[in-house]
Amino acid sequence: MNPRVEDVVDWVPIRVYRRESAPLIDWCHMGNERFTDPFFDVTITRLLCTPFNLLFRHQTSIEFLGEVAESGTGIPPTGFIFHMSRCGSTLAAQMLAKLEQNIVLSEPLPVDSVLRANSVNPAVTDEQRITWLRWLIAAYGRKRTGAEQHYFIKFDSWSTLEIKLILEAFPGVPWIFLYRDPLEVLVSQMNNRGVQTIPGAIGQLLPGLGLAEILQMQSEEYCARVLAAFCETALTHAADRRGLMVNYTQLPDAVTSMIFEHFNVSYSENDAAKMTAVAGFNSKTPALDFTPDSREKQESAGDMLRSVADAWLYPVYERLENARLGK
Amino acid sequence: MSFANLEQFCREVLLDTSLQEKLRNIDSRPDFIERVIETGAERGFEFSTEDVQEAMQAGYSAWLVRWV
Repeated sequence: MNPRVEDVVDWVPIRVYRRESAPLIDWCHMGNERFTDPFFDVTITRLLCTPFNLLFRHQTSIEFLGEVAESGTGIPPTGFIFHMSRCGSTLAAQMLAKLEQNIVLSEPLPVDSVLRANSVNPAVTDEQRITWLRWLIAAYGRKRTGAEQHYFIKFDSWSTLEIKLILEAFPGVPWIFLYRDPLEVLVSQMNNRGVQTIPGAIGQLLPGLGLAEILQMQSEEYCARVLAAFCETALTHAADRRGLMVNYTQLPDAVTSMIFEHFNVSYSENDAAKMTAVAGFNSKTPALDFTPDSREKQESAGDMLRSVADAWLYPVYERLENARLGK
Repeated sequence: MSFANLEQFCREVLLDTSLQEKLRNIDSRPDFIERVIETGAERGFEFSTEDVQEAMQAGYSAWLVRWV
C-alpha cells in the first residue's frame, strides 16, 4: 500500500526496480540533508549508514510518483548537464551544489533506471519513460530546506544517448554538453574504467553491434567508440537553441559566466566566489587539491590510445569545437 | 512469525511521523535495535534482535544490488 504524499515530504526515491512486471520505488528519509557529494550514490550510501534508514523505507508503486509530482511542491529543472565523462562535469555540478539555493543531482541512479527501463523490459514505451522521468524529476525538485531556488541535473554520460527523449520530456529546459580533448578522456578511462566502458555492463551503447562483435574489440577501441557515440549524439542536437557546447578548457570560469547566462540564473559575487573556490579542489575527492593533469595525460598516452582517438574521437571532437565556436 | 511482526511494526512506523522522530536520531546500532524492540513490544509486536538485524541487512543488500 502506498503512503500518503505528505508522508514522504522529506523522503527521496533511491531505487527503481521491478517486482514481476510493475516498477517499484524505494524511498530513503533525507530530512534537510542536501545532495552535496560528488555523486548521488555517495549521498544515499551515507544516508543509509543510519540504522533508521536501513530498517525503514517506503516502498511504493511508480504511479505514486505521479501523485507526488502533482502535489506541486517542487521547482522545475533549471538546467541539464550532459557530458562525455571525465571532462569536468563533476566539477561543474560540485560548483553548483556549493550553494544552498541549488538542488543538484549528480548522476542519480533512479533517473538512469527510468531512462533505460525499455532495455530491461522492451514493452516499456517512450511515453511511459517520459512520464516516469517527469514524475521522478519532480519528486527530487521538492523543496525540503526552503532555500531551494534552482535545480540542476547532471546525467550519466551514457544518458546523452537519450538526449532526444529527455528534451522531449522537458522542452523548456536549457542544457549544456561538456567534452574534453579525447586523448585525455581516454587516458582517464583506461586508468580507471567507468562502467560505460565495460562491454555489456549497462546494456547496448553501440547500436547495431552484437555483444560477440563488441567483445572482440580491443578495450581501447570499445571505449573510444562509446565516447564517440555520446559526442555524436550531442552533436546532432548542437543546433538546438537550448543547448550549449562547453569544452573542459573553459572551466571553471565558464560555470560562473556563460553557463549561468545560458541557464538564466544569477548569483551574488560572494556566492559566485564560493562556487569558484570549489575548483581549487579535486571534484571527485574534495579532500584533495585540484592538480592540472592535461599535460601528464597527453604525455602518458600510448600508440594504441592515440590510434583509436584519431580514428574515432578527434573527428567528432573537431565538429564539436566547430559547433561551439560557431564555425 | 516474529519477522512478520517486525514487518507489520515497520509499516506502522512509516505511517507515524512522531514515532519516526523518536527512532531516527539514534546513531548507535545496538541502542537503535534495543529501542525498536522496546517500542514494538509496547505496541504488541514481538520480534527479536536477530529479526531487526536481518531486516537491516536486507535494507543494505537491496542498495548494494542497485545496479542489478
